[in-house]
Amino acid sequence: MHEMSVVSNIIKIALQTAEENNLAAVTKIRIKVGSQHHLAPDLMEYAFSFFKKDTAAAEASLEIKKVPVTMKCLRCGRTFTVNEGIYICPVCESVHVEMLTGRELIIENIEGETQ
Amino acid sequence: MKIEVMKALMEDNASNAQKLRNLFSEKEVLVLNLISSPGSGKTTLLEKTLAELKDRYSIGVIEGDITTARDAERLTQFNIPQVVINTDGACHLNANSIEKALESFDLDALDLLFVENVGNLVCPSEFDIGEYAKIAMVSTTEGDDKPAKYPLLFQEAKLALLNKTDLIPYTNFNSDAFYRDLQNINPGIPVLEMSCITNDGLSGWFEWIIAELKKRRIHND
Repeated sequence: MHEMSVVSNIIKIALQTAEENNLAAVTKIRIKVGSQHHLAPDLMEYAFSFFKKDTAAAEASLEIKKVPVTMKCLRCGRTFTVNEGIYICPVCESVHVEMLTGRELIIENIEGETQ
Repeated sequence: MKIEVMKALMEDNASNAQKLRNLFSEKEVLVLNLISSPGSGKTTLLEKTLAELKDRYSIGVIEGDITTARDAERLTQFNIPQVVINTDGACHLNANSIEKALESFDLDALDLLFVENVGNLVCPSEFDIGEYAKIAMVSTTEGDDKPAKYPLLFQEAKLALLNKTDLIPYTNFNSDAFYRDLQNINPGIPVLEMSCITNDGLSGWFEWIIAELKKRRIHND
């Protein structure tokens, strides 16, 4: 349900960026979502269709790039992708690990038309 | 025309939460954010905790509830400062709503502030509210698979509570599976087992709070 707050921020930032760059319309918004976040894609789409109405982004599409959760083992230095909720190093089984990617929630870029 | 943006989507909440964290630290208030499913026992745990600690410490409570004030009504008997945030359907509290609620508290007089988040294992984990610790509470009747299914909460939490241990004989709760998943997700996270009905294990929870309150004082002195 917090898809609503995330999407309203997406629209807010996109419209602000469009205004600063003299874009009349936003046609595409690209975001990056780390797999640590629980965001349902269909709810994101639904919220997006709702929030973009009657704005300069009314015709925009939303492109969501999923980022896997990757970790680095602080003992053996190996990096690994988290599968099935296991955050322990698969090589040396160390519990001293740090997250490299997976927490992103970023608006990467937008596309638009000046006139 | 393509324009690079590279802005964090939750930046507003994150910066607001950091502001609150600094404020809590300066005022020496220990803020604990209780997160669980509906019905795990958050309010019952608060009742037990207030009964035990309210004469020794100055305690406040923020109750996050979607529509009612029922949880808050259960706590009025303790005569402590309390604010209800009705989220009107929203599934979580955020830093903004906490900041508004703080207007009703005298932070200088407060040692401990509990935030009982909206009953939900997903959304509250995403929102930093400037707390010292998120506390993940699970009850045995919900099943042992909660850490595996909701890893974000159990990763963000500094402490996990396993409630309703008195009911284990009547459920298919598998403690080994629960601990294995939890340690896979957040290696080393402390877990306190308890039953808010028989009071088993509650002393460990009180001791944890008192130790954190002492740490905070020493740190700031």
